[in-house]
Amino acid sequence: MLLKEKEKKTTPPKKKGNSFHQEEHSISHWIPKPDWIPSLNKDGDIILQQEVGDNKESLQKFLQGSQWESQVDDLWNNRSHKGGSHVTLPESNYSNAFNYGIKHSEEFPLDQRSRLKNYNCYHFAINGVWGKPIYNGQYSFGDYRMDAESAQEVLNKFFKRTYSQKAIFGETIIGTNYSGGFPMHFMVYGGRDNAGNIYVLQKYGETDPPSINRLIEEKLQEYKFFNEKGAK
Amino acid sequence: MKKELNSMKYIVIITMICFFLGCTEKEEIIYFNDFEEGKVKAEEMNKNLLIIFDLYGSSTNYVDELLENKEIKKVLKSFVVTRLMCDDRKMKDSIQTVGSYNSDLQRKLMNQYYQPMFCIFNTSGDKIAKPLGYSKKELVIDYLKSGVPPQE
Repeated sequence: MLLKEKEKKTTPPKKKGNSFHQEEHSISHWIPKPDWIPSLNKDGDIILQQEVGDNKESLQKFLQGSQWESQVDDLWNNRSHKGGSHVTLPESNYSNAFNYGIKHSEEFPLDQRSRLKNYNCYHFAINGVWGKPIYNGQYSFGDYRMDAESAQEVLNKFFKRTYSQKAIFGETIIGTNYSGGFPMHFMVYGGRDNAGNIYVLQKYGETDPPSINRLIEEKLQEYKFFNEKGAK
Repeated sequence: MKKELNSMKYIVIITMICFFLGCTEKEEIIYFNDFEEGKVKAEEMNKNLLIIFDLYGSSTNYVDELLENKEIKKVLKSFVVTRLMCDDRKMKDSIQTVGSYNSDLQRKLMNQYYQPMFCIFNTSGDKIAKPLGYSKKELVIDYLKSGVPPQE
């Protein structure tokens, strides 16, 4: 399947301009190349599934700028071939949050009408990219139910807008569902696969556990990418 | 005899207070979570229809808090309020979820897709104001008041 998709290589459309506005409407435009697919194992560790054509160099590129960048050699050498070739990223603030979500499912009832609430997407994304504990039995930075204004303020103060092509695995915040000028949802960039699909690390709503999902793009919605000021 | 008269007096006073409170109790807000039902009711009651496109997965309790606000509740009585959740996982029919149905409806009606979104329709089903997104409470009140017919 993956090989077939790879064979369907097409020439990417030429970029006409260089504005964020144009870019917002072209995040699907992607030069097909070997990449890795992120997902979770049963313990909440992040695993990167190797696609056809993937190698150590593509792993290096995939993790460039992330907290795992310097560990590529070890990751590559210790990759597992059980259930498809993959690497397992070492413990991190993200894996701790995923693990907690899996082990304490009673705190994340998935029931949309539940009154049991948990931390929100802003808290997950901001703490996530800052490498702070997201939720491991305790919260860290800021309000775990941060409001839209405060989240926007953090973006303005510490982050700068970037192109989706410059997004960094686990380090770039994606703001979306803009209502009244405020992003109603934050996600963390989780890479692109061979076919150009974007993956995100996110906490959807207050009753769902954090998860890794493929981003389903909504044509009528904006997606804005933000890297921390000073990021390459 | 005098004691009995006194107790009677109390009973009458209490009954009158209850009756008075009952009379002054304001109209209830009419809520729906189905577009067609809300539309029919609005037409039937000759009230404008306020549609709120929202998400269960909202990061904050913004809409819940607005709907609990006293000032807003007062204005909402002039509308038939329909809150449509665009991520409701319940099945609408054998093909789609309530959420995907509401999402399609929002795209079709508004040609925009974000939540929360407030929009006001008259009894003929025409939009009478531009939609409003996440805003300060005062702005939401002004927006709602713009959709209340002058006689009210």
